Amino acid sequence: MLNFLKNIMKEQDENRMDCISVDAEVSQLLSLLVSGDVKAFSRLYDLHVNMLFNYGCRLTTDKELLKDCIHDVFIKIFSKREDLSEIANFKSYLFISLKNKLCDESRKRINYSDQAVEELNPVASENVEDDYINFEMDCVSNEKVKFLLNQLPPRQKEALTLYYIEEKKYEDICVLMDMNYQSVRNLIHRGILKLRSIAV
Amino acid sequence: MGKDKLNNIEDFLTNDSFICYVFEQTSSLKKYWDDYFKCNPEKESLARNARQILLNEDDKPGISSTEKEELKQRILSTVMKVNSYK
Repeated sequence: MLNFLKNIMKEQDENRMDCISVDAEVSQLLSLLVSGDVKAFSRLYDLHVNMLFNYGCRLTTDKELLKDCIHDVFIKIFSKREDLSEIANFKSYLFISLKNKLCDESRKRINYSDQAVEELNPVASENVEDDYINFEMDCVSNEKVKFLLNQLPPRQKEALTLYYIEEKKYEDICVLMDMNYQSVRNLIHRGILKLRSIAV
Repeated sequence: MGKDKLNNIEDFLTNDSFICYVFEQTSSLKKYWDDYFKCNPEKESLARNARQILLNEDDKPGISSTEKEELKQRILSTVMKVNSYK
């Protein structure tokens, strides 16, 4: 019985020693990494990838996305290795980086999912900020168009919306609005003149 | 910090302050979260679960060793590329 207890206590001590030595190992690895030691970097990956992956699985079901994000987190660590000494706690840093990366990426993928295939830009952009500004400008100009259209008389607004936004043909608009061809053309023409006068 | 929005495990898992608290336990973080749990004792079990996930205490292997190795090689090859540009 006594031996049994002793064994348990010994095990607990060893576990505690394990924890302490892992922490010590991590800080040693981090200082090696500052000078670009790839072996230390790879060991840091081995020590943390399981917990990062299990954590990420709670935040997304998309495993490929998760792997991409873990990849990016480690790339960032390597390229910013000179600043690592300023990090108070490496694990908090890892988890928060992964969480932020996952949020950014899934937000991006949700925003773009409604886009038509031909609108997708197959080449990854060099500048995320430019992309974002363009996206915002599109939103602003869409709002502006909506605002201007709302200033038009209802029939003109309807005709312009059908022609320019829904991209319908004159023939279809004739049917939809129950008007003859020339009247539709006139209506759209007047609508454009009106738009021009209020847009200036 | 929006701590009133901590309604499920994911809210705790994605809260920067909570993540730091689990790993660092600095006196200011400890005080902050002790106060929080005093005021919101019903959140304690959520927080305990989130803590277990962060500390990886259930320790289920979510990623196979092949996947782990593949991802590692991918990371290392990117590192090599980035390095050779410098």
